[in-house]
Amino acid sequence: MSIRLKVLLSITLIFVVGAGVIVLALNQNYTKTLNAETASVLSGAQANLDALQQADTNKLASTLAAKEADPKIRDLYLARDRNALFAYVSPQFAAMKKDFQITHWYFERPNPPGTIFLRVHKPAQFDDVLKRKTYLQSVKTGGYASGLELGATAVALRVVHPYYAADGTTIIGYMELGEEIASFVKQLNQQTGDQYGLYLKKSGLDEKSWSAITSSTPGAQQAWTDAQNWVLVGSTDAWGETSDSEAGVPASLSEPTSLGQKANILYGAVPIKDAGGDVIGVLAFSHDVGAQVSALSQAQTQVLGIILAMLVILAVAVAILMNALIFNRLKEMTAHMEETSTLLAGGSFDVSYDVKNSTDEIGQFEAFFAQFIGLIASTMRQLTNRP
Amino acid sequence: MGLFYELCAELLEQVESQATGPMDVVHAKGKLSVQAGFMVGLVGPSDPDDPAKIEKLRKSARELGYTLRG
Repeated sequence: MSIRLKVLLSITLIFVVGAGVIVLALNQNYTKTLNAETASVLSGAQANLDALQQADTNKLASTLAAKEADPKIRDLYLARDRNALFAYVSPQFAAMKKDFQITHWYFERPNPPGTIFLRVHKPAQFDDVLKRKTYLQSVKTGGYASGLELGATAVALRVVHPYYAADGTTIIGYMELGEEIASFVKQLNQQTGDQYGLYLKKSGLDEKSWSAITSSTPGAQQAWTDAQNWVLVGSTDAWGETSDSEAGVPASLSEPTSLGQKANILYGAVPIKDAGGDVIGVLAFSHDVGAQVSALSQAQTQVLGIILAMLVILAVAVAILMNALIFNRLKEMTAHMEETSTLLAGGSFDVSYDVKNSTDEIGQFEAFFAQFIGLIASTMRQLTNRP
Repeated sequence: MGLFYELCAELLEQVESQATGPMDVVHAKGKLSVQAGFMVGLVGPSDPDDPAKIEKLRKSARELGYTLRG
């Protein structure tokens, strides 16, 4: 095998290995970018949920402050006239429900006994003792308390505040507003374009109440027996198309978690914690990364194409340079040497080897060979002239 | 005079008769010498008949298109 072929094969091998390393690096970069995208989507989902919860908490708190400032409501509450109070606030509650998705309004007695005086959203039920964390926290701090609380069939965001008399110092009870967060999924969908499913922990719900709702509500989200650990209480329209019920949602979840990727869809879940910090549900979501995947693949192809083109150009350049600097000169030098040797062997002892003005490795070898030919020719001349 | 010298002389005669000029003679003698491994023009009458050298000479002559007797 000629040196030229060996060198070309070596260059090709180096470039093939180089191209393999580049492809590997690009693949690693692809995976790294997708992982970063997953982490970003997860933290973004948690941030969006937190921001939405905070915005709605502010909405509930400001509405609560407005209602507390209404003197007629206060007078009817202090008169303990439940029917008159309900008659007065009921139209207001209907408007609040329609316009602001506020689904719960409570008038609560001071603690003790800490019982409910009036549920505006469910007036037939009252006098039960309050055990909710938000209520107890408001009693304890004397200020606003808010957070998510799991009920029998749903989870609601609640804001509780002490209800003061006209003097502004005497606590006459507590007022509480709340909204079911099933509607969060649609609001988040409008913000992000992602699909969401809101799941609640079965262990925190009441099976009979849930079954009553799902059997009496056409198109209700999910039957109790459909799921192992969670029940779906709210979802965006396309959630069912992208996810199989609770499939992939782990039995316990304490932080934003990736649920994997199918095709170009990333799945993840963020925990929903109540006012006491206990996980009561999960907001699962699907995020389409098709555009990012497509852009990444395109960029990867472009980079690979450019690098391979550069490698080919480099290989051709190296081959041309080696031909010009080494192989062509070696060929020329071999022919020159053969000619000189033939002349010398043929008896032309005044032969000489012409050296090009070159000081590189080949030039040095030619210079040495010229000296050697000169020595042989000189020796032969002396021998043939000897008598 | 041995066979070796006679063959060399015969070969050189053929080279000179077939050559078109002095440089052609030098070239042809050079090629023969390189091929045979010894300088054909320097073989003298006193050189011994080395069978190996004779064989090399015959072979080189054959390959370069010359015909030797025997």
